[in-house]
Amino acid sequence: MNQTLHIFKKDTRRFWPEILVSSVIIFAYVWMYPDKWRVYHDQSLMLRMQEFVTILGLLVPVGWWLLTARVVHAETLVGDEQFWITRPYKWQELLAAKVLFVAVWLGGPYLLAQSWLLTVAGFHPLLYISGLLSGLCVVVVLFALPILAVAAVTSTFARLTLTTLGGFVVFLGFTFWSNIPRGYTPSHPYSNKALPVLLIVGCVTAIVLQYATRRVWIARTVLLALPILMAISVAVNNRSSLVDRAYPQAAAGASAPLSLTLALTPAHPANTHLWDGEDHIYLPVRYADVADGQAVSVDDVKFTITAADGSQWASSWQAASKRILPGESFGNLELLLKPEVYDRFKSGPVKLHITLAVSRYQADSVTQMAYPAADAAIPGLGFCTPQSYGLPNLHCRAAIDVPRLTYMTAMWSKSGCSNPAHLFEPTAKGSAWTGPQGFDTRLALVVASNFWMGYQPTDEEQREHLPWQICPGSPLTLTTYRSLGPTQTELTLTNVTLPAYVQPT
Amino acid sequence: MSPTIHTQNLTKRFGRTEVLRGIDLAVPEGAIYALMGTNGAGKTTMIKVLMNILRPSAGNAQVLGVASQDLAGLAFNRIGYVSENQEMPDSMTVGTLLDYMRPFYPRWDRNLEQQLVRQFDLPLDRKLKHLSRGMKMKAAFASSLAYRPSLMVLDEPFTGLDPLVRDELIEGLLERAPETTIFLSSHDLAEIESFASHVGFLENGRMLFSDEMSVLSERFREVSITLDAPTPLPPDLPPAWLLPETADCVAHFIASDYRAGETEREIATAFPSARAVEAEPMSLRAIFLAIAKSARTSGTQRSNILQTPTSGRRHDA
Repeated sequence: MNQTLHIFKKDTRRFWPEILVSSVIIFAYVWMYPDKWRVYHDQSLMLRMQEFVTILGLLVPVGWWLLTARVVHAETLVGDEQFWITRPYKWQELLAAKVLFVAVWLGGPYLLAQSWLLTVAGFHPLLYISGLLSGLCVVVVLFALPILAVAAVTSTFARLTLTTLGGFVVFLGFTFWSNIPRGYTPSHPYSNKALPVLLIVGCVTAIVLQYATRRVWIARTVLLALPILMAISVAVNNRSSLVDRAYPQAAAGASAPLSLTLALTPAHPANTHLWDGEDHIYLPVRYADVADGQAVSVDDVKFTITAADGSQWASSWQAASKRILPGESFGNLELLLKPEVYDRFKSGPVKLHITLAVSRYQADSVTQMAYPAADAAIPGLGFCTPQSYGLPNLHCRAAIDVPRLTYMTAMWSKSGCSNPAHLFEPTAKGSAWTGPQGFDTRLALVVASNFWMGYQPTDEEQREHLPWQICPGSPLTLTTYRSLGPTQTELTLTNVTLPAYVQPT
Repeated sequence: MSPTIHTQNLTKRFGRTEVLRGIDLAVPEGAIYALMGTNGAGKTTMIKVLMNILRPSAGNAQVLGVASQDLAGLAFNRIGYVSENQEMPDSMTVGTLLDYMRPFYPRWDRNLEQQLVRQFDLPLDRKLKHLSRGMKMKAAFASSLAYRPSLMVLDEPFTGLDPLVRDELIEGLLERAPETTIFLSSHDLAEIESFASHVGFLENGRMLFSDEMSVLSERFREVSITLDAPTPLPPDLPPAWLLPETADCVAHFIASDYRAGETEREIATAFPSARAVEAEPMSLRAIFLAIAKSARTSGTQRSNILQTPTSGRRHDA
């Protein structure tokens, strides 16, 4: 007899209500999910529908949790009174049966639901098999594996619930401590790849040990050690060391990917605010000298301030997000200073050393097409629908694959799209960027995004409240880029007086 | 022939508490071995160690020739285990339980299964969680006997059952006895006495004695001595005399190693004024109580004297 199949069939018969609940939740989620890109003229209805989708999205992992926990607890591994432990179960087959159950009843509905979602969104699922499977892997690693591990070392559903809640609190604390909200994204070039590896190895070790030996204290020790090891990994591979490793120093004599100057002008005034016990000083800067056909993404920045007496203060890497094209552009670099540090350096001119972690890109294709009047395929973006309420924008849905860095431009008209004269009037260029979206739980494999191809109207235009629009048929240009790799670039500025960049209060 | 269960110096500690203290035991094939003892004596722990539910702290145990710590998976094809506290799959009906268990056992006997269902009057369509305790125990017995195990291990199987159910279970068990070694724990002495072939007595984690029932019956006698005159208890009585006492012209003790001529000579030496001696056979209950009282009043060192050379030889056979 194949015990794996025998146990699997038994569990399927027993847990059909849980299977049904879990499947209904995920199918309801993907059923409602297209509301994220449907055109609603009633904005409040749209927001309500999107909130409903979000709630369903939260329920999806709850359904998986219920399903996985219940099936593991059908043959509880903790305790010494369970009838099955003195029956001829082979632990390998018991474990295989549980994995098969999760694969079939969590993975199956997931793949079916995502395939349906892709189809509804206009994508053929067979073209996205690898994406579907990688999405399933993310779901297994993030949700199923930890639940399986915790269920394997708990005896009852109540204990599992308490442990899961405790684990969730630890996760939140861990997330906060490891500074994830300030730019940590596992798919980013400087993500800590040790974390998912630790999670997988820790959970798999605990599960296998528990099934093989039922020595619960060993498996529990492994699981308790896991957050400690992850914390150590985060401490050792802190953001600064990850950025240093991911962005190598430029080779001697290599041309800088861009130039940077401070640009404190009436058009770019000083701007500061105090938040969370730190002065946030926004240094207005001018970017230039990006090579033709290239784009540069400024991902992180760090500062070193040296006073005339030689005393020095250095920041760690801080998240920045700015994409620069050839030509001149302006922006801000955020300098975070404790008030006491600011007080140390405010009295005299200082030397300010700025290091940027940048990614360089080369344009490799340019597509020109007419701005769509209705839902249409747009290369690199997926399917997009123009929306005209509020500011005109393109509402796009992309399938699974992380989109490449794309720069898009469209021309705005001020005379209204119904007036044929708009084709001949002077226009203004609006633009937007899209690119890798960062960390994704893969609950839905269709990503919906809004692209506001905004432009800065002149004062006169603002006064006149002219009805600027992007009209169907006006030229839409999409430039996609390939990566040339990350690097660091540096700039030293002397005689900088910090108070000049601080807004007087 | 090697014993079905064989332990040497089997010890189990929970922290600093020693629950089993160097148990040496041999259960011959085909025996119905009753492990007796008061609550907390270590019976359940002993069974759990034998079934590899717990690991021994020292010593070793062999069950059907397999080291207890290696007992897992297919080794349970030949072992049936039923415990009073066992957590059964309550959401299953009796029928689905039997259907589910059947493919696990190559030696599962469908005819025997049906016979057991009829004999125990099991309602196949009822969920286990809706069964009475007695019915649940019957279902556990049926699912453990249907594959004709070589060894049945039962932990307090009859506790809390009404006499009718108890008799049905014992009957069902005894019908399989010729092909199955039965090892059960109990403190219900009356029912054990009726069918056990061997008995062991566990007290505070020590095996006070372990013997065949017939040998035990021969060894233990309740001895009453009529004396010519009131006489105090002489010092240095043989250690095998348990709970000795005198009152007026009568002396009384439990002989734990009674041998007709030899014990009478010892009595004559200890009580020269003895006029008459009566040595009555004892029930298992009376033996159990005498040993338990003796162990509590004299300490556990008495266990040594209760292990006779005879019983040791028999176990090794």
